[in-house]
Formats: sequence, C-alpha cells, structure tokens
Amino acid sequence: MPTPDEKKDQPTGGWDSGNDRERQPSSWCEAVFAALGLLLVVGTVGFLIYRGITSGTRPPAIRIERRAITPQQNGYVLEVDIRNDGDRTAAALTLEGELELPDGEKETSDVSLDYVPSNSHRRAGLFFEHDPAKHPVKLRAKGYQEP
Amino acid sequence: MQEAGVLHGEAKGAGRSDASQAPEPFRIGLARAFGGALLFALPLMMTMEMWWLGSYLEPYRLALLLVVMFPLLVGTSHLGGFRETFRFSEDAEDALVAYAVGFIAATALLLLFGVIRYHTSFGDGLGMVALQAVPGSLGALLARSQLGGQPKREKERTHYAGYFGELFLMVVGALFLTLNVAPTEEIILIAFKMTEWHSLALVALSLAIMHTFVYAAGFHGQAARPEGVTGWSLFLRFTVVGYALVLLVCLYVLWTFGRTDSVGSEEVLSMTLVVGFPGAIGAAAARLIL
Repeated sequence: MPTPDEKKDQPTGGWDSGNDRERQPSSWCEAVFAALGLLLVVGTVGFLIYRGITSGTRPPAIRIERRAITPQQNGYVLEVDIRNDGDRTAAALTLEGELELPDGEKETSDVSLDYVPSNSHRRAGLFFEHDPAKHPVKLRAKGYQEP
Repeated sequence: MQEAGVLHGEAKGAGRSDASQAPEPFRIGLARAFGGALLFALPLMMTMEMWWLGSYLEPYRLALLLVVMFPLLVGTSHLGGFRETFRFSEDAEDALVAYAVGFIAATALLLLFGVIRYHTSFGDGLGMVALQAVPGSLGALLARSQLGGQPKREKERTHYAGYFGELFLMVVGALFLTLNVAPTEEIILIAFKMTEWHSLALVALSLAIMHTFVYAAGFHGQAARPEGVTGWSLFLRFTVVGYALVLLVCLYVLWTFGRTDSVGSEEVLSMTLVVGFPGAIGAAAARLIL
C-alpha cells in the first residue's frame, strides 16, 4: 500500500496505473479468463438465438419409454422415461399407467411431473400390485399445463 | 491509491513511485470474485423457480438479458472505483472476467446440487447456467467492494459519481435485488393479495425508504453531496427519478421471466410495484454496496 504522500503524488486518473498492471506477469491469466468470459457469453447468446430461430411452437409431444421393472415387497415398480419431443414446455404433466389383468380388471397408477421442458427427459416410476412384465400395460400422458 | 476494477484494483498498491510494493496477484482478485459470485448468487442457485425458468424461458429474452448485462457490468466496474478517466478496455475486460466467473460458479454449483445431471439436455443446462450467471457476474464485480481488502475504500466511496452515474448505480442496485425476488411465485401471490390501497401504501413506503437512504446515507456524508442541494430538490431529482427507473427495471425483469405474459395490465402494475419495493431498497442501498 502506498503511503498517503505517495498517493498524493499519483495522478488523479487511476487508469494510468493500469499500465503497471499490464506489465505484471499474471496478466495472461486475466486475459485467459476474459477470453473465456467472452467465449461463454457470445457462445450462449449465439446458441440462444439459434434456438429461438429454429424452435417452433408445437405443443408438448410426450413419449413414454419403459425402463426397468423391479419387484418390491408389496408389488412392482415400473420405471419410465418421459420425453418431450414438442417445442413447448409441459408443466404439471400427468401420466397414467393401466395394467390389464386376464379377467378384464384394470389396475391403474398415475404420477404427475412438475416440468418437462422441450427436448428433455424426466424419469418417474409407477407402482403396481401385479407384475407389469407379465401383463399388458398401457402408458399415456393425460394432460399438462403451460408454465 | 486508485482501483481499476475488481481484478485490476489489487495492482494499484504498486504505484510507479513505489516499485518495491508487490502487487496482489490476479488469482487473489479471482478468488474474491468467486466469493462474491457465491455470496450474491447462492440464494438464486437454491431457488427452484430459477432452474425452471432457465429451461423454459424464451431464448430471445435470456439472450437479451445477457447482452443487457454487459454495459451494466462495464459501468459497474467503472463506477465502482469512481475515476475521472475511463479506459473502456479494462472495464470491459473486468466485465468479461465477471461473466466467466459467473458461468463457472453457476455450472459448478448446479452440478453439485444435482440440478444439472447427465440426462439434462444441453439447451436446458445452458439456459439454467446462463440465467444464474447473470446475478453471479454482478456478484463477482461487487466482490471488490464487499470482500475487498482495500483500506482506503471508505474514503473513495464518498465521491459523487455524477447525476447519471448515481442513477446508473440505482439501476444496478435495483436490478440486483429485483433479480432475487422476481422469479418467485410469491410475487404473483402478493400481488393477488394486495388491494389498490395496499399498493399505494407500498409506493409511499418505497419512496420514503429510498429518500431516507438518498438523503441520509446515499452520499456518505455532507462533503460529497452536491453543493446547494435542498431536500426537495434531492427528492425530485434522485428519489422520484430513481423510483421511476426502478419500476422500469422491475417491469423488464418481470417480462424477462415471462411473468407479464397474458396478464392484465392492472395485475402487471401490481406485480411491478411489489417487486419495486425490494428494487427501491436495492437502488437506494446501491451507494452503500458499490
């Protein structure tokens, strides 16, 4: 730290002393960070604009994929991946699984998901008493809300 | 001793007449910037509305927010030190470093919190990080004044930044606090709960608080206050104009977050006034923070 006297000696324009800084050996590190910041901002803005131009306004298109079935103490859990192939986000999405038993009776389970953005996927699970591997299960998205 | 900015300031200890004084290395300033990004942006990184907004916000609005932030960061870097001369390149460099710090801090923490996972799509994750990088970068720049070990700072901050400089600081302060509350659902709920009379009272309180700050604390003592300025003149020139700017900032932030979409104009006004309350406090306190 300069003493008060030295401070007085300095010109008022503090920027001048910036020249001293540029002679510091550490300034390349700063330049790297500044370049990284520029890259991140320009890249992000560019990507967002690209996304804005290319993305349409199609409503959410929900695709449900089955994953593992795990036996549990009181039944089974069927894990599902929910994908949104549409352009808009589905909020409060509800999902229903309907398992059909040989005697014609049906067992239904449902789940709701807070947000499934466009081109994203979420994982959920549906509980059944009967084995979803041995009985036909219909999976469908029931409805959503615009965020 | 003058400071050039959050990351340059440290080198200023080594004035040319004082070559023996070792400058603080860049990494110290960088560590401080990360500290500031965490301090100021952590509440938002732990707000779920911010994650959701990041993934469903209209890309144009997010891109615009990132672009709008740049002149604000440059100006904050410039006014933070209150210097007469303006070397744009250094302020711009500081602003870019602040962006980088904001992005890195946001990425690291969202990954750590498990908000961004392997199945998060690229666009989703980028949106979340970019949105968090906005308050993060501002925090990184503010770190200098909040966490900086600059013993002369108190004195330096008494400088008057000029009329437009003061208004600019108010906008930055308002934006900062507004970003913290605008994404939450509570703003909408509060706007619903309030009647017109509540809103009027809130406007009065916002103005009163702003004026108290501007008058009593804004200039850090009498010396820095512009000469021959009365309380009423201050009220009209700073408080009222500042509050109007605060409301514009609030409206812009609410629009960015999609809160004004397909909402009646009365409700938009009500929300703007609700967000304007913390905005006004942020604007008034900007002089203390910056």
